[in-house]
Amino acid sequence: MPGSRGCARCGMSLNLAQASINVNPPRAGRGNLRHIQFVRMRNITADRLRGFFERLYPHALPDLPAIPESTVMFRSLVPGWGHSSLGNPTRGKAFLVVFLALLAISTLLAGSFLGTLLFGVMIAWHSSSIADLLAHNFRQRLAIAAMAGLILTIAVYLPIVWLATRVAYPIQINLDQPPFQQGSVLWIARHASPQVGDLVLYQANEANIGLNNNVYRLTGLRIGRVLATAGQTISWQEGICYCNGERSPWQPVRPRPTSSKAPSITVPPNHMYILLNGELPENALSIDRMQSLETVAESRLHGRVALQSFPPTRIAVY
Amino acid sequence: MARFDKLEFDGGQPERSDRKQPAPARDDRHWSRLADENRRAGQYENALRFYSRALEENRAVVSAWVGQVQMLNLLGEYPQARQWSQKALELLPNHPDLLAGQAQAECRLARIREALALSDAALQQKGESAYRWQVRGEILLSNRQRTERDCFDRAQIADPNWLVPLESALIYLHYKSFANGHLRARLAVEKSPSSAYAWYVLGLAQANLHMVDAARLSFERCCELTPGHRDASDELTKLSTQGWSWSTLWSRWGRR
Repeated sequence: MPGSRGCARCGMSLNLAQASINVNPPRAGRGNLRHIQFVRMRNITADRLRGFFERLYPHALPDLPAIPESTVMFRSLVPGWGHSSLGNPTRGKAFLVVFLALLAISTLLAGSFLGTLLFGVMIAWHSSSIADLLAHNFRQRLAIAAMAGLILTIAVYLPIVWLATRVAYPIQINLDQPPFQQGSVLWIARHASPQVGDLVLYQANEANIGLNNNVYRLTGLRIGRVLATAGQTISWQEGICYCNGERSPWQPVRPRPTSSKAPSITVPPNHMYILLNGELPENALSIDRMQSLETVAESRLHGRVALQSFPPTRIAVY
Repeated sequence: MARFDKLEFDGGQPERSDRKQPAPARDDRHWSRLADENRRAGQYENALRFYSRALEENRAVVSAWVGQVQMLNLLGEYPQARQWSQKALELLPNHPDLLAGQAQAECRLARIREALALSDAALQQKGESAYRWQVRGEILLSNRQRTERDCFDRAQIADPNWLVPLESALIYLHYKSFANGHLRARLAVEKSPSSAYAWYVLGLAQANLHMVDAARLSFERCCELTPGHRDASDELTKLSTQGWSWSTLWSRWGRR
């Protein structure tokens, strides 16, 4: 068209050929070229995160057949199941994966402060998954999360924990006692029948032992090794322990100062011979007295030390 | 020699040996041709400069605007390529190759959504060009979609020039898809066996595929065609001195 400054078809300026425009493109310096890799990585990360959150918080859920509320409530017992049935599997997976991770770590660290803390976080995470499923606004979310946390704790987790601890329970060592150190967490199997050589948790025979104006009080829970069970004979010769006349593979840390004529003892029925692990000073007791203290009734046994779970660097099965 | 100028010979008027040939016109077509030659030789820095010279002569040379954006992308200056294509698009609105150039820059900066939108816009424009299909293929390649091969084939149909498979090979090499890059580079070499740069790119693909003997031959052919080709010589030296390394072992393991 006469008088027109641009091409009617493509919009290009008709005065472009003579226009005064800088035609030299901007160039990148060396620093900029290195910066491009950073920009690229940042964009890739942002893109992936955006995709993940879009799947996590979709603008619209797909049309699915209506599920009864009771079914949704039931499925909320497994974090993420309810979300998956309502057509939001990514969010469901996120809830489930975090829940399982918390469950695994808190089980591994059970008995320690950190393990207890993570167990609490896991319950909170579960209750928040229920709140996320059922709540429509912030107030509802808070109320449902609190209620769900309470109900889950009382109705689900406490019974589970109670049942689990009928089998085995964790204890934390408060004082160094070789081979265990302060802070170690041991799992005590309640119903295991200890064999010779097993480490056991037991209530020690109470005794007051006087020596050089000091009184040693032997009491409380102890961890010791079973040297003999009912019917077996224990004898000491020159500080070495013999079980049924054979040298026992388990010996005290320090050889006991015993005479060559120390009497042998047969472990009575429903009793065990458990070694006191060098806790008493040497020469504090006669060998007879020592043997009577180390013969422990089975009713005093709390369980067998099954494994050490914490710290993770010292995990061991006994 | 001025004192012999007046001498007469039998042949009539003497031929003036110092008569100057008419200097080639240094217009936009001249600079565009130089830019294209340098581009085909892999001298992207020079090609960019010559495209700018062409635009200094005539700002309406669309191919020079597009060429500048393409060179910036090939030189790895993606933010600058994006900026420059935006500026060019202000002057040449909705030009498909400029849109494709911007899409390529966005793609190389891992902004796939923007790249896809721009590529869609480029493909919706009228006409046909190889570059927009190449860029489409690159976006699909970066997104790990297997349909990128069709786009590169389409680009070759749009423009049967050997530069198209060569630049497709460069795109494949950028994304470390060496086997596909090798195929495209070989196609470029078959179309233009006298191009040193095509042999060089083929050698690069072969070297990355650990086809050492074939890569050596390709680099030697490149050096034959362009004596003193520095990059090819460097690659030959690298091939002759390379031993085994953990990274080589790992890459071979990963390729099984």
